[in-house]
Amino acid sequence: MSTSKKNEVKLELLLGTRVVDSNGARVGRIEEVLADRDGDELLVTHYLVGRYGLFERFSIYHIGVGLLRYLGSRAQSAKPHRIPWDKLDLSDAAHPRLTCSIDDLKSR
Amino acid sequence: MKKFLQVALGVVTGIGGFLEVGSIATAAEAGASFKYALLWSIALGTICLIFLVEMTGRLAAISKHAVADAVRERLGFPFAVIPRAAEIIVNVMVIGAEIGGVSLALKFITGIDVRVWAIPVTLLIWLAIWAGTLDFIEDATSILGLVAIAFVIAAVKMHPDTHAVLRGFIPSAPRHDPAHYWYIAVGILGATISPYMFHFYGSGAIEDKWDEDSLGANRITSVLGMSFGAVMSVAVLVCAALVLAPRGIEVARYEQAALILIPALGRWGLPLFAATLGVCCFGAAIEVSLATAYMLAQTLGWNWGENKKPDKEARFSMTYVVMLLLGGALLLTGIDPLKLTMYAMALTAVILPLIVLPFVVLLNDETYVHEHTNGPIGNTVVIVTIVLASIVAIVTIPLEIVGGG
Amino acid sequence: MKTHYHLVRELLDNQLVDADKRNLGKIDGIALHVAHGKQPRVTHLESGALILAGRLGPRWERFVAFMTRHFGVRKNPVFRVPWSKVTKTGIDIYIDIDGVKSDAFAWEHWLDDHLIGRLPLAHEHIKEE
Repeated sequence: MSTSKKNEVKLELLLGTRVVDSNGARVGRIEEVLADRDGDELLVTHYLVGRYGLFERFSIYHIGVGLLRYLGSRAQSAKPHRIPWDKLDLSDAAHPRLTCSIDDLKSR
Repeated sequence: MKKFLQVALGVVTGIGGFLEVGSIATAAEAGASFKYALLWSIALGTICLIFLVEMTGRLAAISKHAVADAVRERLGFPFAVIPRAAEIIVNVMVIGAEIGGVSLALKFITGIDVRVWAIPVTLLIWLAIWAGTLDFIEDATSILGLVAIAFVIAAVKMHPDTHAVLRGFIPSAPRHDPAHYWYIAVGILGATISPYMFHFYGSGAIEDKWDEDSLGANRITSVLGMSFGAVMSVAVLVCAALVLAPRGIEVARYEQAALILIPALGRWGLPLFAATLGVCCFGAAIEVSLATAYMLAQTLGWNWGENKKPDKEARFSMTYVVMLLLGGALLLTGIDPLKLTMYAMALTAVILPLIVLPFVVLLNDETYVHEHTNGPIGNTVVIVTIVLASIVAIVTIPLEIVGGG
Repeated sequence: MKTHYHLVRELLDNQLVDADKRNLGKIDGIALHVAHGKQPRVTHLESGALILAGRLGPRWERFVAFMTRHFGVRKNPVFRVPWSKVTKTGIDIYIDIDGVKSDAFAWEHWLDDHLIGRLPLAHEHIKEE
């Protein structure tokens, strides 16, 4: 694997990996990573984890979700979860895990 | 002057992109087998093409990024790799077919076999790209491409039944041999909406430094250029319908298609057919080779540009050299140029949905086109094209087997 | 430069451009430094066939790794740019390095020296403008 260097995670490989919560329940796939510039550094703030990764990237998200809802899908949960950086354990980058349960995330 | 040159670019892309081996072959075959019945497919393809070409130019003028660039950036490598890999394969076949077209044209005049011509023709095409600038290539093909008007003159001289011709523009179900009918219809769509045109036109726009002021000219060029090309295609079909259909000749070889100008133009018929075929295929071979180089360079982020010295962008130049060599080699295997053309056109139709899909995303993304996003009509046309192309893609493979024969 | 970034949308797969407006490849990958208890940060933007192949799957990655080991001309198969070298972001990402001397141009130089530059007319060709 390219993740040979210690403490290095490849964002492009993180993209699309499945995330589970602390109880092992499926949360979705990583579809975007948000970062803030701080001086010379670019720091990760949030991971967006959703069920509709492809739609998101195509930015036909709203059309797509609207269509799914029209077809009777419970697409309201389609909005990706916004997971703060300290709530995602990346020590095994191939199997990212929330440090809390999915319900804790929603109640915040 | 700049505006005029810009319109000229479109008209050239129109001739080079439109009237090449693919459209001549499909239009001739359509006319010979089904008279005017398939004219609608040229019209339909042209309408889609006009919209898509206009969008390519608009994207380039505003974002300074060509389609392949933007697709990679906006939709990511894992998506981009599929249409681009498919296009490379199709383009090798198309280049082979175009080199075949030039070689055939030379054969009609000299009687010397196609395979003998393959190598010198490939070298000549390489030399034109290598030593020429984009402007030179455009000017040369546009002026020489005017010989294609011979088809229009011939078609008019033979006094086709206007009503019958107009009826052909209304889509209709075939009266006989439906598999063959749809097979040719798909081929015409594949030959009309050629993906390489998007790369060539958009990249040319960037090389010519288009900006927001170019949008008006862009609109005129796409409509004028593509329509001009379409008229030529229609003329080929009409000639074939008037000359070949009554005699029951189906176009199984290019030699048969070559007869269509003779009744109207007499002894000038064959040389003019050969000249048109040769010039258009020569131009198209250049465009497809360059388009592939543009596409690959933009997908992988290399330096690119036809107006720079070849040694300034060695990878870009290497790409078109390799493409030409592969195309030439394909022809040397002794494959029938007409078969190669028809396969390439059908395969183009198969990959079309993936190529057109990104247009919906890119032309509605304000980071790329600012306030010049698609209107409802533009979006509708793209979506209809995607749906249409998807249906075509699904039915093409069975048609290839049943109708290609 | 802006403050908030969508790394996938705005950086990954975008064009790397050097100080002289030369294209140095796309951003094929982004390296993050992730340590326990520390806020992850972007360390490098990466470009190279090896990274691209890794995105398609391990089999492609092994194949390209083999090819670069035996036929590669770059000193390092992956061209890495520290985030601190980024000067401007937008559709294209500008970096403050001399691209011609970098590994990003290794293939350009190799092809020019061994193939393209040796063909007739490669250097005489008259440039526009």
